[in-house]
Amino acid sequence: MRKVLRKISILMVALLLATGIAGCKAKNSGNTKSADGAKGESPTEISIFFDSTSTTCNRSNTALIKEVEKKSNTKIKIVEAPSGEGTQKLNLLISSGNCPDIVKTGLVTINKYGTEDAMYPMQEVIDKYMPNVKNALNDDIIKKLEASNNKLYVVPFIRDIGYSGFFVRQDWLGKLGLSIPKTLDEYYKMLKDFTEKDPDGNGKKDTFGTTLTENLGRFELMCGPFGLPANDFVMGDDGNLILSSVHPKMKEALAFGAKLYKEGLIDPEFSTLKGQLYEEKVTNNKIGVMTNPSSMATKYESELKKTVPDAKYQIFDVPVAEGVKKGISATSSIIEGTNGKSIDGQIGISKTTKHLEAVAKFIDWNFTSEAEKLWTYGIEGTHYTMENGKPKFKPEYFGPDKVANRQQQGLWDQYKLCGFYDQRTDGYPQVWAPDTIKNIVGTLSSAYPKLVYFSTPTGETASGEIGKARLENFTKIIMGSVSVDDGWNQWLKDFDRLSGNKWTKEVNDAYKSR
Amino acid sequence: MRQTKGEKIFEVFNVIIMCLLALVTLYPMINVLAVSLSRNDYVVRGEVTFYPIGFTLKAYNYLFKFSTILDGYRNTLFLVIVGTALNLFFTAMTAYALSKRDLIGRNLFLFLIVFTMMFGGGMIPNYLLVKDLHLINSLWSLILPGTISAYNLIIMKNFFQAIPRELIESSRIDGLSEMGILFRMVIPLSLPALTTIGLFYAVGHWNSFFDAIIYINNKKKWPLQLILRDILFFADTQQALTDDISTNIPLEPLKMATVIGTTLPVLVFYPFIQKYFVKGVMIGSVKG
Repeated sequence: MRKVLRKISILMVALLLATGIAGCKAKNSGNTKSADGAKGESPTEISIFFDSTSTTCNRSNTALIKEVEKKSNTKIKIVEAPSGEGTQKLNLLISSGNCPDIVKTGLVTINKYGTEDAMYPMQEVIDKYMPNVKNALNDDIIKKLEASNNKLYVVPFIRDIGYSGFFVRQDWLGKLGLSIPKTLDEYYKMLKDFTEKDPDGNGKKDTFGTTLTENLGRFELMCGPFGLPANDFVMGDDGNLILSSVHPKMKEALAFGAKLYKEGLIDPEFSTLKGQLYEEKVTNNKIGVMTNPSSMATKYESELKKTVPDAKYQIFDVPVAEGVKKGISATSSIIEGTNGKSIDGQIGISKTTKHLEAVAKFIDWNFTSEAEKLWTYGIEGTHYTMENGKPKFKPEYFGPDKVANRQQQGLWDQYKLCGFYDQRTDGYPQVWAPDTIKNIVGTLSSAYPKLVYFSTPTGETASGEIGKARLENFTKIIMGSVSVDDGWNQWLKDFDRLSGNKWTKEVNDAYKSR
Repeated sequence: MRQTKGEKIFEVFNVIIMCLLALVTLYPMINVLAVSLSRNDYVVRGEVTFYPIGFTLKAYNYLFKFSTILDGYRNTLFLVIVGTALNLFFTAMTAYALSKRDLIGRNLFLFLIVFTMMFGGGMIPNYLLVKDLHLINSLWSLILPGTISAYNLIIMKNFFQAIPRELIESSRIDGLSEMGILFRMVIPLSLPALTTIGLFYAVGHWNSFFDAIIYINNKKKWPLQLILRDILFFADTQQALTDDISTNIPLEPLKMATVIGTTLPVLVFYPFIQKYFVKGVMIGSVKG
């Protein structure tokens, strides 16, 4: 018995070795992909990469996606990466030659791979296969999104986004007999009164005019009145682009900030305020002026109302310093001539795709209003009904509190590859509270439309260090550890040392050549 | 021996300090539990410390109804049960074979195995290998490539080597076959070692994160740690600066509920395994 067993085991080892060697020799049998999916032919398989899902539901398998597949004659395979690990996974997929057909990720990443010849130059693809996309774009948008070699590699999505606006406690204004400030001096006086005149009426001096947050977050509260975004390229007086952080007016903004800090008008612990802690301060009735997107403002207000029934955060135009035309509350991707819509996300087509035409046609189909309606509202009868010719969500999906239900079905969602259908007119009232909607449009007027979307070689390597130096220097100036003059000079020196001026020159050259 | 007065005082202080230390260590867990069961506006105002205020199960409702945490559980349990079983089976067999001093090519095998402990292929070659084995997007890609861990293998081999040869020879004289020796003598003697190594493997599977990011493309197949990270990240990025977010989900309680949801099984299970560590390594076989 033992002899037979031994013979069998020797045989099995030999078999194992043989299959091992055979396996090494076997070539990768080419995937049999179906032919280009046109009507009547078998569906094309399209794989899409999403670099951050930011969701908790599994939405790659919903009824909505199945309907999309049916209507566009495709089979969609979604490749997901967990939030924060997207670039690494994409890097791996591309280096191993396994990149999905469509890639949705940051503009800088797609452009980088484009210049390395891993993505299709999009202009020819748009001209040949994508008429709907062509209609949605204009020269201004294309110019903004080109890579450093002046080629377009992305199809952008354009929709409404609400940005951060300045909000003030209307009830505090009323109690102290103040009105909405329009100038810098009025702004200063209001912050001073908020801090010193006990607007919450509890007899303790524990309120603040305003506060920044960790990493100089919400810095627009200080630099907005001077017409500057926190850290972005603006057009200088001499016709050249200059980073707002080194603009001469930023020095005045820092002086203003240092004054506020010295007199205790902003929370001295601002550099530790992160997320939850900031929320605590606001809802504990301590902050007079804040900058937040309108949905957050509504949320804070409703939490506040539980302890302070007549609390109200009112949006207002950013007060301006002398000689400044318009105050800024946030940086945005708003595009001129689209009535306040912004660029929100973009996709590239990987060069490893096996059916360029079908993929391009699929993307183009997403830009039709039929597809937009499907992605936004879902399937008629299941998720929404038509009322007066407009789609209306059924009760279980209607309203701000049904957000979890909508997410689970993939409705009104960030997974889509298009804009939102009739977002501002019919869509908003179905998903946001009325106050939020009122304020969303208000935030658009004080948002600064970005000028520079591209990155340059020096920018890629230097911007991280420059950001850190900015944080250090600005915090020192605001907290008064150095005088404004000394701190500012030191910052300019650091900026130059870290190749900031070289970066600025590159950006200007690239901008002018478009 | 009766304690002197000094020793008694020392003991009192010692116990007090230890209790305080234990409390300080436990407090974060208690706080997490309390926050997960509290109403959001109390949490946001920072009023929740030891016990929940405004008791509500809303966060858990969202966690189990709307997120993919049940999928995560299913996948991780699969990995832990099937994976650890395979791990132990193959590691034990290989270690036993390598523990025999008269195995042909033993030194060569050992050298190659130790070599892999120091030099690896790197991320991309590993990815290409898994891709060519058609294991991408399959949970098997998290089990098969790592079935035998060189480190655990050497531990187990050393353990088997420590079993006295006399024991094995005596059982051979008694007529036991080789397979019989392995399964009826050696394994039962090695249960403490097997349990320990099994626990190493099981914890490794429970924590699998990075490999899953690379090899798994479909959210439905994500193990628990990825889901956990996703939910925590989701709750954190809701402090973002544009209006793309949903504001009616209790974010901080949700984060805490996720933490409880993912650590509770381990907390519950651990006391049962602990006794295997406490038992000695060799439980009396050869005396004298």
